[in-house]
Amino acid sequence: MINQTNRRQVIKTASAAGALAAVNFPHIAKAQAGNNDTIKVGLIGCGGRGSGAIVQALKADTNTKLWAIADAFKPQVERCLQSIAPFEERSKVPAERQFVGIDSFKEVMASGVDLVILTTPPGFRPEHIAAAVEAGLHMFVEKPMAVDPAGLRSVLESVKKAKAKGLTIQNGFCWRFHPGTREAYTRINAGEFGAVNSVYGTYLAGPVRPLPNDAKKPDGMGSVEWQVANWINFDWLSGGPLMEQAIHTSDKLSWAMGDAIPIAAVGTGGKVARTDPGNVYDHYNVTYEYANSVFCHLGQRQIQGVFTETIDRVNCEDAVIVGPGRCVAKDKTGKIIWRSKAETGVEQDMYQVEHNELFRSLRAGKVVNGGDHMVTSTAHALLGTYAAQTGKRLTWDDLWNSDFDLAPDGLKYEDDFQPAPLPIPGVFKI
Amino acid sequence: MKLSSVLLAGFSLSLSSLVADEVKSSVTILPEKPATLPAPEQLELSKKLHALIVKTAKSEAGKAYEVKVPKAENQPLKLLPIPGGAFQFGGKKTVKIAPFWMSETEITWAHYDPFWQNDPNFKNPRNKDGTIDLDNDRYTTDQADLTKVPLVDAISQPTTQYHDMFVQNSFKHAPKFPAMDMTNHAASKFCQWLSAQTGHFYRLPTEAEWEYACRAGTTTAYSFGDDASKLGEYAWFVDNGDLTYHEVAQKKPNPWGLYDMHGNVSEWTIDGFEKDAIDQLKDGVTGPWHFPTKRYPRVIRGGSADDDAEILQSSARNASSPQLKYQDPQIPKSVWYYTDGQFIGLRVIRPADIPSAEEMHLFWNTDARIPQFNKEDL
Repeated sequence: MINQTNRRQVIKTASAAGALAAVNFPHIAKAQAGNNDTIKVGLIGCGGRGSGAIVQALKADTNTKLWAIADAFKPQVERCLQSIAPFEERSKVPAERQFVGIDSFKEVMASGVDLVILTTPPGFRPEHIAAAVEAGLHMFVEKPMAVDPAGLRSVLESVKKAKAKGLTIQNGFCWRFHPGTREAYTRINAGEFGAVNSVYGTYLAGPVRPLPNDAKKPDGMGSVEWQVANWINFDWLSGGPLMEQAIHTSDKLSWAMGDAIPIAAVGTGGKVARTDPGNVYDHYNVTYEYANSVFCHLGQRQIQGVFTETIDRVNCEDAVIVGPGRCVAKDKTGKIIWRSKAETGVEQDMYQVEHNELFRSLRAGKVVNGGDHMVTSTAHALLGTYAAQTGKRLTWDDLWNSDFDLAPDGLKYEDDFQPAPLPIPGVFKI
Repeated sequence: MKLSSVLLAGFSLSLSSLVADEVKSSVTILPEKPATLPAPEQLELSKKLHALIVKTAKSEAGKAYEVKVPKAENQPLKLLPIPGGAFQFGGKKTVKIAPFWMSETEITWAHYDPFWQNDPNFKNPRNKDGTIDLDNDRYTTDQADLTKVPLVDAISQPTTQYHDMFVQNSFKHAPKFPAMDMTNHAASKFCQWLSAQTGHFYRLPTEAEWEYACRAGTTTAYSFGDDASKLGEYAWFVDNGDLTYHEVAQKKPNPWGLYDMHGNVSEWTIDGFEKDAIDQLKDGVTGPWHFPTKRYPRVIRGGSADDDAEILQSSARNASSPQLKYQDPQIPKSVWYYTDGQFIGLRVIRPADIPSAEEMHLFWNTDARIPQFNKEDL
């Protein structure tokens, strides 16, 4: 139990940061609990996830309305509006508040909305967060919040400003809102199973929409436009599969450790099975080093036809806790000593819980401060990503001292911006 | 081939079905046949498959057989004959069942993997609705030229996953373990995919067929009797299952040789779920099929390694719900994958008589990625 105290201290800090604080409010509620004005929601990025998030916002509160909508591409806007049409008036957006293009987020933010949902490809996230803070808007921010150290520092600055302005930031680290998983990690963090000795977390899955091997930009389409349309294949847009997907495992690993700051990470990774023209890895293996010789492993892979597994094994002194979702704790003899159970009547949909808690707080005139956690967990995943890509033992400070930036802000569709070559450890630097 | 009825030990098969215009149905569609056929754009495909199945038909009546599945590296799938007969459905209504074959075990990843991982080199991505993408827009549906594309490839098949839709936790993704977490639609399309490769008509069982096969002539709570203390010899359930599924056929089979009808993963049927469906039946009906007009709820049977003993009983009924997709972050939610159906798998059947192309089409197309059904997942 040597590191228990240290860990507890960190937990305290983390939970204080996650707590609700009543402050002055811009736009809705204006610090009045019980306010039932319509909350006008702006949706920025309306692919599958954005369409999911707006549905959750409409279900979370009976007086929310989709006020304005934006996407890089028009068909996405049309498909989203069609999918959510069963919400009738609350999901109807007049043509003058449907915006298309790489700069369309600005038009949504200027359209009179109270809250924005930021669900574009993550490469744009730091810029969108900064603009939302500038405009004084509450926000739901999907993970990851940055794809490079420059973006991370930008988000940190935005979160500071948001706090000063009393803006709500709810983040999309969804597992933190899943009832059973929440209970498991609350018990772990409380030391119920003894100190955490190690974590083994994996996200071994198949590729997500890889470009075909012979994919080429169609004539007449801008270079940036084509990459945005295929964003998951390019590091400056998606951050690669650890940032974009296995960040959930990284986040839960950090959660098990009480969100203590890791000392450093060492990792390997590369692109071995995929031969598409994108510049992202198809696998990473990262070891996170914590105080008191606690080492945690994160495995990521997106390769088809091989072993797949998405699992978290939190090895504590007295038990191993296996999750996510239906979580189980087994003692050293393998006996189940605790398992999560879905309580009847308790919302189990973690995406819905995120929004339920967000809108409930807004109605109560309270601020949700998910900003600090969002910064820490994005940094945690970036540490692993860049440790593997540089081949270095990358310390927490190395990451924060870097101003490495994958792409400039303000790119236009027609710009001839080319993605960097695949990072080669030993050559690639941040 | 002589076009007359053959009678084998306790198993009769009418070969009259081999004459295309004299098709025989094994089901009674309730409350009535839909006025129009669903997925009309796929009817031509169903008809071509029907013609293939009629052409392939030969007398295998009453015999167990193994069929090679070409898309699964020719790994064989074993089917056992289920004799026709009558039984007390739900322990309360007399129902007649036409003979069929049923897979000896739950379908395993050995056969299901090549179905959902249908584009190993990412050369022919699927549209969202599972058709072959011809126009480089995966949101539209496209119709392959059936004179050029192999029928098996023309069948709608799962898209790639955008996250680990099986969110497996402690579930081993290995060949002898039962496939799980597929939607009723995916399970039906798997049957069609299997049919196109084998020339046999495979489909999901109706609820009545499932229970009939599970009981295997018994009238007790379980196919081995009423004593739940013996359940561990026959089934993986909550007391012995370690909250996960297990390799198929590790426990004792039922009297007809079927493994894991009780427990391991629960199994899909092709019926819409209505609480009083069995009570509403007329005594003596043949092959009742409560045609599902909605995506939810549909009938799931058999119980799983996550369930208590009662849920594993021969007559115990369960129903699907949108909750099975609650970790799917997107809208529209996937029509292929659940995120929280780790305890649902499938078993295929093959009716002894070959029905009409239209009936095959109905069995394979009870759901689709269309607004009418998608809104149930909002």
